[in-house]
Amino acid sequence: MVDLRDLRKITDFEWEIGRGFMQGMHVPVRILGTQEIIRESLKDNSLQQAANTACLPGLHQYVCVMPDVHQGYGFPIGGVAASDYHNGVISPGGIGYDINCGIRLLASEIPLKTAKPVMQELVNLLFQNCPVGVGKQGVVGLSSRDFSQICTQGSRWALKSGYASPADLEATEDGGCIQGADPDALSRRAVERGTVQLGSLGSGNHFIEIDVVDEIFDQQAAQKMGLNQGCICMQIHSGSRGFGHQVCSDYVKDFQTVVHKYQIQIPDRELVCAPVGSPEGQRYLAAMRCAANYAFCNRQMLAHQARQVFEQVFEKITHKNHLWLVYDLAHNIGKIEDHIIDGRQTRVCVHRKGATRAFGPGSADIPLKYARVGQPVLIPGSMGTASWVMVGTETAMCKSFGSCSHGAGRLLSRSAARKMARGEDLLVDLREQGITVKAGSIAGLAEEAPMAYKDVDLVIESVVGARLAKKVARLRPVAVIKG
Amino acid sequence: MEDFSDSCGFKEIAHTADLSLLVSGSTLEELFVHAARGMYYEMGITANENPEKAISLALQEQDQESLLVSFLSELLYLAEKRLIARDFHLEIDGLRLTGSLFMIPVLKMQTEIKAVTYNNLRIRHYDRKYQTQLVFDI
Repeated sequence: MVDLRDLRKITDFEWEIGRGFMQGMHVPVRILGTQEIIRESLKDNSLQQAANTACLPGLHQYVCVMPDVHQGYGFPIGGVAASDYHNGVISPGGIGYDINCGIRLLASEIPLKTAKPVMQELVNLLFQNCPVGVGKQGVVGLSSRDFSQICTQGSRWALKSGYASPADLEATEDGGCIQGADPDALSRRAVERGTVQLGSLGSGNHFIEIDVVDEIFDQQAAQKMGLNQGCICMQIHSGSRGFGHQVCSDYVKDFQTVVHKYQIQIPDRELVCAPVGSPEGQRYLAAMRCAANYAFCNRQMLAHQARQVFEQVFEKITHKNHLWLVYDLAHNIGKIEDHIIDGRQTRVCVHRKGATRAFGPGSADIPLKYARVGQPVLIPGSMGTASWVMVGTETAMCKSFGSCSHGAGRLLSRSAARKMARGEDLLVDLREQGITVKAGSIAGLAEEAPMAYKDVDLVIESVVGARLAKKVARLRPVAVIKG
Repeated sequence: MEDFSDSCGFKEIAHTADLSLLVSGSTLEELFVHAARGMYYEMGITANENPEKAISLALQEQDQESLLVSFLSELLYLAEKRLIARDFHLEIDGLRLTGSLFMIPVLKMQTEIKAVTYNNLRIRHYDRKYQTQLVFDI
């Protein structure tokens, strides 16, 4: 276990575990957060997992740990590692089973007071129309040709099929389609699982949430995003469903022998990997991109359903009933990106495991309308607490390979949360705070109780202190739909 | 080694984000069955009592840990198809598992397990017991 004495303070918001901490580390670990965040992270194995990650060959600079870090498997959740494209490796477990789990924010110009009388109706209809819960099937039946096209085209398939607008794609990371996906790299089982689940939310920490824009901190950026104080917006959190889980499982298993082939030493079998440029690495990359594109399309399909419901409910009240996409981003993904490292442009494979891309102003690959303010960064809080809209910074490009926190970060295990909170009591608490809740499983609700998570405001303080992102707006929840 | 002989053969170990189970068995087959029952328990499954059908299983992997991951992954896949095993008849010969599962239909499932991980996975065998700690992504 990592001890406070193993950490060297660099600034009030940056700490380092040196390469000498354990044998096999190729680079140090850099943790971004306040001392309080550091103390919390020492309570589980997250920093040991970051040190294990630092043993992967071909990493640049350091393994970066975000302020919402917590224990995962292999990589910690909130871990970012950039491996050299030519001499480094790609690790499926370092991207995770829910490939391209991510979040999208949609905004409206409907004031909360206008929305309140129909909130219950909106929530009921969203629950009915967006498949939520364990193992739920999707909203459309897919032919094998459709499925293959979704793998290679992502949200472009949704646009072609009438489930998206060009503006939706413009406001999605990578335009909702990562090049280089190849369905031939998928197992038959992965295809089978993916074919039936498109347009479904899933369960666990996945949600649809209606929020109100509570406070604006950067008027210019908020204006670019169309965020209006006092108006309602919607967040959708989901990923690649059983398809992504299968892709990751297939490759973590296959790579158990691949590490021996390439004589790669790792301290944990979940960290299995292959050289990025090897046939095995390229095949995984092609399969992972299929799942990433599927996830972009899945959130687009969910947003399409949600938008139809939203606009239908509000058309009785206002003609300004449109719900537009502010941004959609991935927080479990591996991306081939160019970063300036030691003064030289370097091509790397950035693993973001529970971390969000946070490209600063002027970066390539961000929508034109955000070119001057930076890429929107979406940091949802725990259920019933605030969420934050931020923008990426130039500092993030230098310090964290253009990455930032992806949420509040768990503190308590799910069983500990269940022991401390009953779903029914939580439901009452949330209602007393004026939050409407609709959940597939009331017992499951307790696992996501706010007390199970870090205070999102503390995470934001660290993000701002480390200058990974700048505040744009705080969102306050008014309704939650969960599986 | 912790003795689970009088219990159900599994117990939950605290894990911040995911699920960890300590599993024990007097034989490798029993370890696998206890791991499966522990996984089902954590998924909060309610199932119909009537057996629906028997499924035969044949898996071969390069080591015991991979065999366990493959076996549990197979059960997760079947659970997504709304089937769980009520009875297991397993035989493990070296790195090959064969057997039949008597499947019953799932009525309700509370928690989705996304995958079985290899996180620090090692099957230990001593004092005539098998034990392992599993981490599941949920």
